Amino acid sequence: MSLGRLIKENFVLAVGLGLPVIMVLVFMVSSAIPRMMTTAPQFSVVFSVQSYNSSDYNIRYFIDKDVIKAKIEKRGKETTPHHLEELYIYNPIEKKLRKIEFTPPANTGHAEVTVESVKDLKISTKETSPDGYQFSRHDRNRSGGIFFFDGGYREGYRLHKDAASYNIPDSPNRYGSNVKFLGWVTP
Amino acid sequence: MSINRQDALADIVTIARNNGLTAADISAALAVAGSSADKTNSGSNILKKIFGYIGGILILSGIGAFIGMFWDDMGSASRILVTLGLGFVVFIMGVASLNDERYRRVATPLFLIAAFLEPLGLMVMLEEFSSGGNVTQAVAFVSFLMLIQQGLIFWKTQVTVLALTSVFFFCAFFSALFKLIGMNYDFAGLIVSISLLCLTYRISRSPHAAIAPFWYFIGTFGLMCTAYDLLDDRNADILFLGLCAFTIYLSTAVRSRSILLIGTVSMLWYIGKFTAEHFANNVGWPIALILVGVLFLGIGSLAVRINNKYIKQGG
Repeated sequence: MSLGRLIKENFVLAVGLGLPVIMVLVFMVSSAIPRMMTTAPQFSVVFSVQSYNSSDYNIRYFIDKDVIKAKIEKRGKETTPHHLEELYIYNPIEKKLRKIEFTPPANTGHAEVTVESVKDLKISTKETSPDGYQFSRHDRNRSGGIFFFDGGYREGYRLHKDAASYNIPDSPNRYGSNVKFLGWVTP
Repeated sequence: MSINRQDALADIVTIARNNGLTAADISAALAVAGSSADKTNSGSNILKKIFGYIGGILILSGIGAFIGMFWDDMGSASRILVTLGLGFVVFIMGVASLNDERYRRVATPLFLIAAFLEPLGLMVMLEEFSSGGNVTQAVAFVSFLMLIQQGLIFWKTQVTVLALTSVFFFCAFFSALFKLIGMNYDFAGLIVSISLLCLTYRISRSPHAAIAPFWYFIGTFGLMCTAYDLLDDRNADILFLGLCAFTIYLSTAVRSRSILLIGTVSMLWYIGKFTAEHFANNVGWPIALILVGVLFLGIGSLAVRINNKYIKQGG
């Protein structure tokens, strides 16, 4: 029996088996073409993720005069709202997400200090990187997750320029609405 | 002859053709079913089955708890042996039992246990020995292996439970693959749902029709959830009502009570939600509730009529 006739006689089965395969191919091609027509991102992006770990300090990261700084608040009874951020740098060339460790200097009360381990990095706070990429959130994913083993709800982040898009790996704390863009590492 | 009797006969003809049954086979089965001896035995058989199931569940729970208690003390090899090793042995036993008529009925629980233990064991093996990668890649790999195993043995043996597990691993594999390539979950869920409904349609026209209602239920539920979210994100959620109507029509075309149930419940849910959002503050909540109640009665009654007229005797 010829393949054409086999498909014709089992058309619904062929659709059931073939549809996901075709969609995988279509999606991969449609993602690959814009990437081929655009230069891949070259500049590392700096962002912070709110952590829900317990800490004696509230830490918020910000950029001041092209340098990454941390605003530290010693938590006491008067500073009940908890706000601890973790600092990340994603290098799109090496495709590596790096967590920048930061411990507040001893006996710090309220202070704004430079993050020593990345003090040499020059950060641009412009929304668009020098090569035209932007840091943005994925489309919302909702109940499609009934077929996904992790519940499906996911709000990852990406670097995008026109139709070209590059996903950023999830941080250990996972991304949600608790991500703050800080800037681009520039030469 | 009433429409119901004609429908019933049409169904009998379809089932007989799908399973290669002759008129003599059906007559013989009817004669056996009608005999008093069979009626006497059926009660004790059910009781035997129930005790059998309870006993099996207790034995499995005990083994699971025993393994759990010593899990932390086990080495990598032991962990793999009690999950993947055991699963594979159970699977081989299932295949072997198909060759002996006396043990044929044991095959189903054995295959189900194997379908649980083997992927678990493969995940344990990856956890113990792999480096790098992520859980989605592991799920895609394990699902693919399981799909190949279950699909090939199903193709060879035509055992219904393997059709069930093959469909499960098919969905799991493509869900993981869609996630790996970064496709939007809702869109991916929609594709998996449509694909699942198509596969189930084919299954419902085969000797394995017994599993069709379950997969119709899952497929339609997935379709409605993902379609609603996709439409809602594009402010076109009103089209969901059209999809509900189409689903109810589909239930009559494929003669599935599962699809009818999900289609009707989805329509009722959407009407309730729409009324609460748009009319509750205009005509007052009590009147909106009365309107919804009347609609529920009407749609519920319509669903029952559709079931009786077009679906009864179907999946």
